[in-house]
Amino acid sequence: MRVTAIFRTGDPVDAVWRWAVALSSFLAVVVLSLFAAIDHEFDASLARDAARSPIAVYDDAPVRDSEFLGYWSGRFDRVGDHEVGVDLFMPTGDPSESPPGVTAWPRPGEVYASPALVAAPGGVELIDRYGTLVGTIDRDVLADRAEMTLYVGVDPQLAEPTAVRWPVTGFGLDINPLNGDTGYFGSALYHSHRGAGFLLVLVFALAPLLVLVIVLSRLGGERRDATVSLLTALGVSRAQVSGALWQAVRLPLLSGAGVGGALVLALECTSWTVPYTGYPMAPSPDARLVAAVAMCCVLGATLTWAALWLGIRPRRSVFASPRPVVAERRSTTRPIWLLLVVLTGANWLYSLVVLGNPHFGAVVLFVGVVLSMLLLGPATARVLQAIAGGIVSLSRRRDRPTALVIGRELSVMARSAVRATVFMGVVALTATFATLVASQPVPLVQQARAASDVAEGRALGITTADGATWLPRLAASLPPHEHLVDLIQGLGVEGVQLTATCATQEALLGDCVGGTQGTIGSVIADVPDALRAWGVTTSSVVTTAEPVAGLVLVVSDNRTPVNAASLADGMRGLVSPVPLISEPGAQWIVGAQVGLRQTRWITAAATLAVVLAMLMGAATLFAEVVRMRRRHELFTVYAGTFARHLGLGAGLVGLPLALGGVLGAATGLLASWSAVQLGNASAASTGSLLGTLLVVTAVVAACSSVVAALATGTRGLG
Amino acid sequence: MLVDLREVSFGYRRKVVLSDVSLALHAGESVAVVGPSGSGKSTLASIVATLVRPHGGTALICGHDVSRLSRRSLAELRRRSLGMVFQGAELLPTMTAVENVALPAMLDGCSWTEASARAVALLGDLGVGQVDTPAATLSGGEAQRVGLARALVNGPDLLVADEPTASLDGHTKRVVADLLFDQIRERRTGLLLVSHDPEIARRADRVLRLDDGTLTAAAPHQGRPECA
Repeated sequence: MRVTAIFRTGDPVDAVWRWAVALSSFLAVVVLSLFAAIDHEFDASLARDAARSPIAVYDDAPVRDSEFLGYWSGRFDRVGDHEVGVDLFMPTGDPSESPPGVTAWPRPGEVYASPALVAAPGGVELIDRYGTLVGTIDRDVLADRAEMTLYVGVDPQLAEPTAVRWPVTGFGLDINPLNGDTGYFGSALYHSHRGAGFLLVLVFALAPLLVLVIVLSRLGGERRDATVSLLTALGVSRAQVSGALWQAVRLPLLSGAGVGGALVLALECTSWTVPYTGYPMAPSPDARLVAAVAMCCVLGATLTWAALWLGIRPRRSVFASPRPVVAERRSTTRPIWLLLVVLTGANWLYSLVVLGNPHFGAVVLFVGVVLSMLLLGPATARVLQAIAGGIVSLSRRRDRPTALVIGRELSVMARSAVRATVFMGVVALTATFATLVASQPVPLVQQARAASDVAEGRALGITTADGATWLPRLAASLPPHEHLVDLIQGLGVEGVQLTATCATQEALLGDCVGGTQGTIGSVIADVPDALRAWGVTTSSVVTTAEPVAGLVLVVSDNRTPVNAASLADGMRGLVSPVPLISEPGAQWIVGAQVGLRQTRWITAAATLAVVLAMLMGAATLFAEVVRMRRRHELFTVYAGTFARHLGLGAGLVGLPLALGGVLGAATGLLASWSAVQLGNASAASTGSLLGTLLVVTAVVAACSSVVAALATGTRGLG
Repeated sequence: MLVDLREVSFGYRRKVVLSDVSLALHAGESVAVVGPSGSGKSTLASIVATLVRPHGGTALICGHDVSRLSRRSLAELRRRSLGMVFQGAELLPTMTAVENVALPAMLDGCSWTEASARAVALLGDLGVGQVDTPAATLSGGEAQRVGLARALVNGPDLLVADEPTASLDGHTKRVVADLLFDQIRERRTGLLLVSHDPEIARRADRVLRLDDGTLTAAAPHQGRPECA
């Protein structure tokens, strides 16, 4: 008995199913390839990073003259909120090997910069602070194209003798990522770790993908189930059914996998930027990656095939029809109230306990989210039922026949529509919550921002080495309204301590503490804003002396800000390299940016999850509408215009989808409300996040509505 | 003339279903088409009901050439001039009886108040009492009566009935057939009735036989002789 054609029918739903199989296979390959791509990109970035790292001798081991190239040290500066790696090179003689990406060691006063730094706003000003730009660092040696870094030539004549620097014998570290080595330079260090990337893909891509693949494979599945039931009753073997299924899906299955694999390889061969994260992908295909993608193609196709084969569920009754026709009579609004109570209670309790007991606060926050997830389904069902009832009454009052059909059909679809949208809602909830909470700036960063605002540029810090003999000359070269203050940022009862001359004290505080030491409170009631921004309080102790070294502040005694460029110019002839010039809390702000860049990956992954979940919801609702298609034939006979069918599609598919997305996002926002408010606004913009979610929801809902209208509105008509 | 089919032909892939079929049906006239299963009766009804366009020939329905009408115009023609009764009633099961009947009127621009009043009156005429219950809970006979009411709600010139009694038991079949013929006579509505039941068919003014895609006048009834 030949049964190879049993799944090949002329029904348009079967054609949609085959496209769904292709999409499923395509997405499976792409998502699985993310694991391979992350692994590959992490290794490649780390390898580039390590290849540029200097081989420095950190202990006192003797270095042979033949190996010795010069001295190196590193520091981090900033442009805007972005950190900049600064490599300070001091060659001795004529080194045989140049730093990677340039043709020669930078000579005193010379600077090489990465292209991204040259192009960044404020980048040229920072470069000028260190010297004269003589060239750019080759893009290929950077960890990524967006890396901001500087090679600065140090003048041995002006170098601080006590500054830390290490002998360099070459470039290119031998690292082993499997041992946890993360390199030193560039941004590889800051791209979190491989495991975090895998976890993101696992939670936000693989989990929604599995649900999507199952849903897509089941499109129009009831008819296939019935056919298989009948054939099984007639003696057809499972092998024959399997063969027939393979005949029907092999083309879309293999095509989808092939296109998916080709797309991944194409992306690996081109330069592009990962959306949301700003991460630049450089072309770096190799044989290992091609093999990994090929394996992902096989796995993706296998996964789709498994969903198709295991998804066939022969029914006991061949012609059973499980579609509901009478609306459920459940009008209780209890789940909605329960959800609101949980959200309000969790927010209230969190705000009550988080300051005293942050760990318990975190438990409250997460328990609230889990309970919200559990209640989201029933609450969505009640909301949908209420909307359906409202549509019916409104359609009668406003004489809208299409709305009347939508309202009646939605009332019986409540259960299936919720089944479709609840997963989507949970994903939207998780995405919103994870992004908002994960992007909370730590309190120190908030304080740093506040301090920076208070200072208004009237006090800049310069970091010097011990025994900075050039400081008196700097003090002499400053404008009359700028003064040097030595600052020790101690902890505990001693707190912040200052060292300044009596003249400086009089200029800044209005009086001198006299003798050798005294508190600021003894001479002035309020600490000037410029000093307060650096943590100085009335109980801070002032020592009357010349500033010597460490963190030295250049403070303006009036409202004129200190000009960083002029300050750098003034120091250039006194010391090499020019010391780090910083605003209060700069290191915290830059550190927070690193964390934020990692958070953007959560946003990107969450957006992918929402798209996959939306597709799943759309496919489920589309299948539901297709099953109900016969009911709508009479509507089609009389309706005539595509607009009416579009209205039907929008009501039966678009509306539940939009509702799921909106309720999920709103619940996520409310679940994280207290955390966001107490964190003084999350660093990821709530507005743009919700905007993204709503745009994705609207686009998928609109597209699904059109597809549903096309699929249901054209049957059997001239 | 309500229906004027001239040498109409239709086929599915390689199979010819209708071949040069010509048919005329005047206002107030009822025509029954009988024939074996697969002879093309339902296809003929679909062409007259403007649900499909003929592949050859000309089909003038209520004076309109269906091949030249847009989808929108076809739907308007169906709403205003045609009523359709199907074998399975084809009601929207989630809507109430009155909503099912009122729907074509609302789609034609009537307000809910007017459409539902018209629907309730028609359902009363046809003996359907439960007008506000979901169609899914109606019996077969009640559902078919609701289907008939829906076909008549816009006051059509022509009613196309495709096996309207095929799924009903003997008694209900007669009740529905009585209602169908009473209504078309009362309203002077034309009727094209497709049926394989000779007992129903012979109540029409004319009976035609469709065999192998060709339409001919039916032979006199050869069935079991009736008792005196």
